[in-house]
Amino acid sequence: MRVSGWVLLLAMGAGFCGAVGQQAGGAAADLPATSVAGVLRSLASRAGVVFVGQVQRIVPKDGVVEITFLVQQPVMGVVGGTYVEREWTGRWSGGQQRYWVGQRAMFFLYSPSAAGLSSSVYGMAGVVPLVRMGAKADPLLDVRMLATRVVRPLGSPMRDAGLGAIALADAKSVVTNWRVEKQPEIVRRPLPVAMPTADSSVEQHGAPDAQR
Amino acid sequence: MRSVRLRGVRDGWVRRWMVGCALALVAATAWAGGPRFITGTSGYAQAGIPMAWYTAQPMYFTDPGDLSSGVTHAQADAMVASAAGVWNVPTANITLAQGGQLSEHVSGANSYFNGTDVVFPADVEATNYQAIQIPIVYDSDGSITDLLLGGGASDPSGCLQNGVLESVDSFGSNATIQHAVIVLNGRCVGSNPQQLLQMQYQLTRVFGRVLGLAWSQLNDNVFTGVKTVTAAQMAVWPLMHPIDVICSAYTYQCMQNPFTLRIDDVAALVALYPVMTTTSTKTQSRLNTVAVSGAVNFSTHQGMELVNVVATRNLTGTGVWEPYPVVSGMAGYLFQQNGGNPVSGTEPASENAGANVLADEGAWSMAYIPSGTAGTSLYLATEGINPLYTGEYAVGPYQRPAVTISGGGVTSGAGPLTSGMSATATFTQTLSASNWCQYPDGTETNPATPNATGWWNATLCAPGYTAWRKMTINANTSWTIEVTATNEAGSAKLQKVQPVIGVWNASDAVGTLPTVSSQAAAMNSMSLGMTQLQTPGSASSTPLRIAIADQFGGGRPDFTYTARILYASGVAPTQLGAGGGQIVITGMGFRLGNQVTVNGVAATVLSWTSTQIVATAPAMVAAGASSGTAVDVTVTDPSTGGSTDMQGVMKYVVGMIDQIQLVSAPATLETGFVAPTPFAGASVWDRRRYAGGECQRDVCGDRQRRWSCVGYGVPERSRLRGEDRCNGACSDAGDGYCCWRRDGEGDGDEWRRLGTGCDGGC
Repeated sequence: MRVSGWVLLLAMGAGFCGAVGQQAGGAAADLPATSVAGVLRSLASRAGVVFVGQVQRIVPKDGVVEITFLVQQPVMGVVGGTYVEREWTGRWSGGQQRYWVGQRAMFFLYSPSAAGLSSSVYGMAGVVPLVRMGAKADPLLDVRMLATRVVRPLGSPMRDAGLGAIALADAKSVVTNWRVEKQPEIVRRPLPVAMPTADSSVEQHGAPDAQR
Repeated sequence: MRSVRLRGVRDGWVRRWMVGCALALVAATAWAGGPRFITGTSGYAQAGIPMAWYTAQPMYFTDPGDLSSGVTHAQADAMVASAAGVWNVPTANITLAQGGQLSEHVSGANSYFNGTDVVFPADVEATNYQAIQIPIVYDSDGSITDLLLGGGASDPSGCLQNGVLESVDSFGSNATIQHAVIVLNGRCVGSNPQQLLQMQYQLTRVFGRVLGLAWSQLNDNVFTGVKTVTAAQMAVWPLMHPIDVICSAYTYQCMQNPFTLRIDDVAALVALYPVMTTTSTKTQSRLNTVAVSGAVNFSTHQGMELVNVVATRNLTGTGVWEPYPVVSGMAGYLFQQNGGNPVSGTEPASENAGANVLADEGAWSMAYIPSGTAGTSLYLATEGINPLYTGEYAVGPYQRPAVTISGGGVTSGAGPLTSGMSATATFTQTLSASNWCQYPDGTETNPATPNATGWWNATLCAPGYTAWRKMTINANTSWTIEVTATNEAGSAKLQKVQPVIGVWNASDAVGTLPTVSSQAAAMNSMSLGMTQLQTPGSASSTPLRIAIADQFGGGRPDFTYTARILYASGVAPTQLGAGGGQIVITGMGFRLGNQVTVNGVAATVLSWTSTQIVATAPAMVAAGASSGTAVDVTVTDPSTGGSTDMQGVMKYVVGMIDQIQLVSAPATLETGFVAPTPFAGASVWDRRRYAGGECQRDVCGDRQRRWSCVGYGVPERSRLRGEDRCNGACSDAGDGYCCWRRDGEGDGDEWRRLGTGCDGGC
């Protein structure tokens, strides 16, 4: 893929700078992940609670929004049953919806703060949609959002853009073993045809023909 | 107004043009990119109004403390000023400036959660908006970020997401923004200047959000990289793009001129804050711009929301089309985002945004497209929304999952337009869904009857549309209704209608929430795109009414679905002999692969139609049943998990005659049993299991089984004498048969227990 020269230099420079991001003074720049598995490990490393479940209720209460999850598969830091998360209402201002009732996903949540408030790790990246494949097939995780957090050269498409899913079982293995640095890369799989990809839904319009 | 048809520019399905010649100022309800906040029907005098700041000079006040150990207060103030200053453009009637400092350094020491709300120092609170519009907290140790987001949220690994937080937390009843809080995470900056630049970049975007701008999709190829990305395209990728490209630890390095607004950003800002008259510091917005607006429609002429419209320029005098579009607008941005539905009721107040005005459903606008003094021609095109742009990355004020565009992208031309002119364009999407609202879907007071097969296809064809059906379900019978969202090709789709289902008793008052069962969240089943509701049986047969609606109260010609009611209404026969046998289940919604169980044990399906299943029920013993006890018959669809169960609908009855076979033994065949008295007269061997009679198992001393015939049901006068054994032989195989010979006919004849056989041989 052709990339303008200055853009390539910029990407190279950025990569180099990123590699020496460690700073004195305590503020260190984390290098971005190089794979979806790396993103999952990063999420797991920051999460206090990880589970596969479903949003049951969303109840605004004064300064917080209380979200009740049905925990269907606990992964870290939680047992089964339900889990109640309290989010700062500031994250829901102006009608912004962070979850929907019935939403199924692998949820990565920060441990509650001293005030009992929490949120999903890295925003929407910490809510990895579950894709149910029927009674006879194992469920998948939709990792397209995670793929956006994988480092890539400027101007390049996301790696394996056409393979937007991974097996739930593979994800759980990576998450529970997140401290293990060297893990086999997760096999990417295509999403069901019922789910559109970005390049199939967004037209790419070039300049019109010259006037005759 | 005159109609103009543009020559020489690619022309799709535009039917008519209206070109305004007057230098009319376009009302402030015209937009590019898109406004973030739209008034709803609750709490505002008028719905569908984009919300902007109540003052043209919102002031920000910075924390007096240092931002971190490596970034002083002065350095932080300078960074904030740079980020804010980007938005002070001459053609927008808004000026961000520092009004001073907060009274205290905000930290975990003076901010806390009181059990119901986060409490900041008084000057930070929204109630103080008239004095301080935008407090900016320097969270030097990350304690505020952790307080608000959770333990560990301030860690530097999350700086791309949590480095700068914002919350617009106060709105005026006159559709204005009053207050916003910004928190800068000090753990994300140190002595490395790149970190401060990264925060400045993030803060610049946050200021855009605080000013009321939505994210914008334009030249999305820069993000997706599907085609070659050029510097020219990057130059017109909006600063307010939803998701950054991550090419390094610092995403500002992944964007050309990351601190410069693009044309689309300015156009969106100007649309919210137009300058009406040129002053010493501001320039009239309308000068050197053109405006274009219109609608995107289905072929049915209903508006199609959630479609992006982009504009490419050919500046008059250049004779050259620019290579990439420079401004975008979102169709339907003023339309209601969640209209509620009969299943879950009125939408929550927090989701009440937009107006239920049909004309707004597909309306779009680009009010301030820079045109230079000579004007410009425009090339307009429609495109779908990137499915990732949802939730906190939503383009425009949208709450529902992105809906895939219906039909192909359409292009059109406008112009040449001189500076100050406006034009309109209406797009009719090619090959878009064309389902009119003409299906017999009934009403709440007069629901329609479902198709006898239990399957039907229909459309939720207009906003607020609900499909109503009526059914009477037998007592003690559970059933399932499934609604699968489909696309124009009839395939299951996740990003079209979001179906929800509710069931009431037919006698319930209208306008109430479901009383029998409901599924208020879409796509709950194990099958993609399907909403499923399983309703348990009730003690009595009850007429019901059923509603199918969109979770967000939407309705469009492409909101098609396939519905199915899986319901077993009866089985015949209702009594079987102990050996089981063929049963016929009637109902609806059946299909290939459905499974039948009797008392939980599989029956063999022999044939099926949508209204009938023929199966072989297992023998009583295999079914774990007992004679005379009612058992359930269940039909299950393993591919969806749906089922229908008829409780206690059938019985096994021992001794019931379920088959008769006349067997004539060959004269030379030795039966293995010699009657003590030679037969006299015509004799007929009957091999029967008499009604009420049975072969019982009997445990032999050697732990094998043998059969004995306990007789009754034979002609009464011919009772068994004593107890017979099956030849004394033990067999565990199958049922035993008792063979009887009838000696002669007429009264007084006796049936003799003669032939025996555990294998039924006589």
